[in-house]
Amino acid sequence: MTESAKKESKTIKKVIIALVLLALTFGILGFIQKLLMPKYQRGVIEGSFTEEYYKEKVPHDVIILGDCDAYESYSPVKMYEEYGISSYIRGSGEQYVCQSYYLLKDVLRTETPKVVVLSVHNLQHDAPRNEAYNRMTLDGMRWSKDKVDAINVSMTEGETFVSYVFPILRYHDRWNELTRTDFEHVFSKNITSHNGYYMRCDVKPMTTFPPMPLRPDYSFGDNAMYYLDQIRLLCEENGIELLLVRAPVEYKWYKEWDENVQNYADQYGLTYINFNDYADEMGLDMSTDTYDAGIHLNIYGAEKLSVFFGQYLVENYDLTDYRTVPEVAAEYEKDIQFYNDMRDDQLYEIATYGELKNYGLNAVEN
Amino acid sequence: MKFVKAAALLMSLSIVGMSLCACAGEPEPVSSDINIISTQAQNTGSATETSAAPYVFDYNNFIIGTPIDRSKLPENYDEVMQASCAGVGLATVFSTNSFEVELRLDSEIIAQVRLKDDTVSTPEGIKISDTLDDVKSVYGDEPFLETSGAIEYAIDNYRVHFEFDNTGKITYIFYLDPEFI
Repeated sequence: MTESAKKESKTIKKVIIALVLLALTFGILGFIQKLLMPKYQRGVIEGSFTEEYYKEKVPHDVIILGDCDAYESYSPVKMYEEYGISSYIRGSGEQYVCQSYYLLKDVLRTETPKVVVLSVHNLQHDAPRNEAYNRMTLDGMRWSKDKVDAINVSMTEGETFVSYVFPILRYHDRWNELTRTDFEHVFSKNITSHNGYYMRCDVKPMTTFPPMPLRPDYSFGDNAMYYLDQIRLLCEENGIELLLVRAPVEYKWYKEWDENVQNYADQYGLTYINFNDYADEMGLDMSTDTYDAGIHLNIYGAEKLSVFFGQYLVENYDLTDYRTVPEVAAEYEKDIQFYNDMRDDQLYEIATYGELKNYGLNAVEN
Repeated sequence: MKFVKAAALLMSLSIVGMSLCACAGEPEPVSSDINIISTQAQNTGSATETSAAPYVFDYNNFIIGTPIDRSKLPENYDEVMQASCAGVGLATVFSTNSFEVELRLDSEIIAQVRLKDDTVSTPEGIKISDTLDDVKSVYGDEPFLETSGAIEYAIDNYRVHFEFDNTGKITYIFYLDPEFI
């Protein structure tokens, strides 16, 4: 071997070693990053909802977008059981309207629903205001231009884009708080929702809410309205029916806001349903149908609303009865089993302990 | 061999470095309990700015926007924790027979005081079951905001709210957090 060939071989060796070490570095960093990121498997599970959508194997005729008003009020499993509707809630804690828009764009990458239901409760926030909520919505979003755009419009003061790309920059100090859950779910997470629905079976009757402060101006913010427009236009472009809804919860909602939404719906020929107006018709009883004194519905309230809403959907839109499509029905059978198992488990805990132990805020990650 | 050692050392340093030093310019570190993020955001209010607030509930110095002194609560009170959506923060509410004090999320700062019965009154002397005329005679004819069932007075960001029933009697009085928008 000539001297130059030896030199060349040495150089190649060095390059290979460097590349291997580089790959190893990124591998280790990637592992540490996954380990350190919150798992949202117990307690505050809402941070899992965004990414759970990507595990779906069936098409959805109805996509529901919004904050807790969306993911705690409608039970897709119940709507399937009653009407064969295939639906999914792309909801997350305090999901802002701009995020609803990008989550819808994200949905359209893989499927085109017939109906998009926007829960208008989030119109009250003109712009993102809390990093914790941003993280719960955005960290689990699959990487695409839509995620990049969603991050850019969502970041609050002090947040950086790079910390969304490399979450280790944000979560690095969790090393001394890691729990067994963190290690168990480094590479795989359990499904926590039911097609995006957050199940609660406990009951805490509604009392009365304190009156709301007055506001000098009840208009929704320009930014929120801009993204509502964008959602409407996106639906139009894709031949999707847009339906605006408000869950049958009176907490922190002004009648003036209701008028704003109705005016918008009238202006663009949309339908707006405030389910508070139909609470009696659907048999809602807030002494039994809420788990937190009237702020959110429990499973009993959500199922009543879902039966009522499902009926409206099948009467007004051309939806497929997926109970007659074997491959979809087979998937939903698994969903129903999971739904019933969780309901039974929650009911068992309530009967045994008088409260939930492994669900809700009582469930601490360990 | 030297190259391998140097590269390995570089790799180790980069892992440690990237793991530990990357928080410059970031918000305060996040813990597993993501609630902490909101705690930090909520605690930025200054308590000292509020001492001259004109519309404050003046019972043992429970002043909106200032830290609560629990020792000054009456002997019998209930304490309830109210969770916000998705567990991002807890608000504590102290409830006595006569009034309620609600704190900001994950904070000891008083966010709202609500009067519940006519055994307590505002420092200006208005209490539950007084009338709109009573309110206007004390607070004036130029409220900050008024609707058919409610009226609010404000000086700076400090607001007091009166709610009326159909007969024009006060059913509810509360003071708002000056950070309420």
